[in-house]
Amino acid sequence: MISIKNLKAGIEDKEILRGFNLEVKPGEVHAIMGPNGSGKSTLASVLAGKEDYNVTEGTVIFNEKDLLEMSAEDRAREGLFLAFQYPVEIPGVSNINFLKTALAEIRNYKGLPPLEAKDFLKLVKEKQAMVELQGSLANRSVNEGFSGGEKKRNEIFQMAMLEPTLAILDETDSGLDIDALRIVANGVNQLRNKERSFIVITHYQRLLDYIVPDFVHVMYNGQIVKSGPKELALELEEKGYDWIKKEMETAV
Amino acid sequence: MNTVSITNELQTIVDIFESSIDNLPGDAITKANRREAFNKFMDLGFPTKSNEEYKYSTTEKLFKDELHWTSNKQNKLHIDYDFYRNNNTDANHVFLVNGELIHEESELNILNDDCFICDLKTAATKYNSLFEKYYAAQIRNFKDAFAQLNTALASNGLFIYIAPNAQVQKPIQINNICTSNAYQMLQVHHVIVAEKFSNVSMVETFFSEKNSEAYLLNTLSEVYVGQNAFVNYYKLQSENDTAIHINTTQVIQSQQSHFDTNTITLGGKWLRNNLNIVLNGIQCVSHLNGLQLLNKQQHVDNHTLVDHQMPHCESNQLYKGILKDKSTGVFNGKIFVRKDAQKTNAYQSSKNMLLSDDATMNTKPQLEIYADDVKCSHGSSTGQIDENAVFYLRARGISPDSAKALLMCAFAMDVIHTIKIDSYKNYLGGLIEKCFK
Repeated sequence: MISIKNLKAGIEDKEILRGFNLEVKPGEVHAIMGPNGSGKSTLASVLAGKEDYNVTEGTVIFNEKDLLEMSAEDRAREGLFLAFQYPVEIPGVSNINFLKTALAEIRNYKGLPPLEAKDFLKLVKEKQAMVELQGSLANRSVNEGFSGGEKKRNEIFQMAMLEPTLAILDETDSGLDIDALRIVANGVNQLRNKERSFIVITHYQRLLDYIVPDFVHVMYNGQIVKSGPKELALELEEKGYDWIKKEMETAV
Repeated sequence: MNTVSITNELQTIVDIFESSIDNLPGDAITKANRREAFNKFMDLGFPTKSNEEYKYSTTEKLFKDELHWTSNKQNKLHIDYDFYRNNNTDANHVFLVNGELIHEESELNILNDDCFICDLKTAATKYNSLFEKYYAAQIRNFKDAFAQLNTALASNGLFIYIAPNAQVQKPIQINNICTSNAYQMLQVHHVIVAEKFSNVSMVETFFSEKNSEAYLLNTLSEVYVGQNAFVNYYKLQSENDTAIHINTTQVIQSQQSHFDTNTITLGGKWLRNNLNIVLNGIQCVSHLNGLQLLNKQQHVDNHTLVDHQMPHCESNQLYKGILKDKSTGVFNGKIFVRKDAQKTNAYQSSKNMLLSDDATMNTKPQLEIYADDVKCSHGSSTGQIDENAVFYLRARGISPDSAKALLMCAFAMDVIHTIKIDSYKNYLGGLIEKCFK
């Protein structure tokens, strides 16, 4: 699915990712945890193609293609999806029009004609139900005036519409109450299958009660410093990140 | 044909005025008004840089070429009227070519015999008392050279009269088509009277005919909105790259009346819109909206003036601009709240997007408030396209070009949504989408 090797990247002169390695196979869910400033969101942005970041070293192969050579839109068209930590409000562009345009451009990239209006609306209805998003929200401007929970549900709704092969969830749990968290996790779980992989970035173990990962990685100083099964998340929850930090320091 | 180079040739204009005054529409009283307007024009002269009102829109360069002082009657038979009719609003279409009413192409029967649309000449003879009462009545104290010159010299234009209580269901669309084979100066003057409790919607469009040479179009509309009347007056300026257009709209509202206007500017070389509204009765409502999409070296200057003279009135303004290339825009919004105009609500907002480093937008709100129990606000912003939003859209597979088009369209549509004629709204929506493709 995706193979990240020795990825080094930063913003301006500041290096944030310092030799990041990760291998995700089809159908796997990898959780990336770590303290603030460890580079988790930078990783998400770099993979999605945000141009503010410079990649100085390393390779990222996504479905046998060089991801770093692709524009942000081509990455999305190839099946990569980033659920934003802070979804952007876009006044005046309706959710529906936005998704219709996105879907048409993705299908066009794959050499497919746009969906018939009827089929498109059917799809919208079906996927909306998945994240318990009200119909009226779909007709409203993208994220404008949405509550924190609605914004995150909207991200998962978009993911459901675009059916990516790899979804990166960047702190999708932040700012969610327990009900919204359950809805979002439920949406993600329905989208899990043998082909689709997830990278779930989070601070807290809480989300992983709902989205159970195959692997848990701890990120610190722009690298993965510890990997393990899902139980590692529980250990982190119990001991905090200081334990990892200390381990790192003694290793040095 | 008289030819005149304006800069230092006011004398030539005097000659033209003196030689044509006898043939211009109107009897002795109107002629006296015309002379008065002409004298005012002579006193004012064409605005120069030192004129605060024209600070960002200097007129000197407009007169570098020689102006021809006649109206051109050629080509009008070759105009494809159906093109304008069918591509546009579901309306009673009225056609003016260089200001001259084309009777055979126009639908002038709008409701019943109490309501009429005719040209100025007909109004001056057939409806003389109305004509005397309304023509130039609002322009008297207006210190604008173009308005005075227009009032003095206009022989063309429309007189639209909506009788008391008349409910005109179908919009009236005034299609101005200009065609010039030299640099001509055209004066068009409309008088629109909506009597009390009447209701009318109008769309006025401005197009240059294919292959038209440059012209200077100086139009003026005097609008009377009677007590409890509802008037919508929407304008679309879509002229060619050489067109110069000065468009003045002077409105007076009586009590409890509603006036909505929307000025959409998509084409033209140099445009100046003066929109002046006097709220002369209690509980009036006015909405003034505008949108300009500019490119190349276009220049568009929107000057609005809302004069709150009476209590309990409301005015709302939303002007938006998207400027590309080396285009320049101006929004100058003046609001007066007079001493008696307590409980006034007056709002103004100007929002602009600059898409190039060479585009310029000047905005200037001017609020003068003499009453103490009012709500007034103004806001203005000029910025670039939101790059975070572009990235968000790209991250969903949308190309940068369509992402930008979506965002600009959304920005512009805000103004279009305020229009109350659905067919016109849809037509504009299509035009604007095309602008961003």
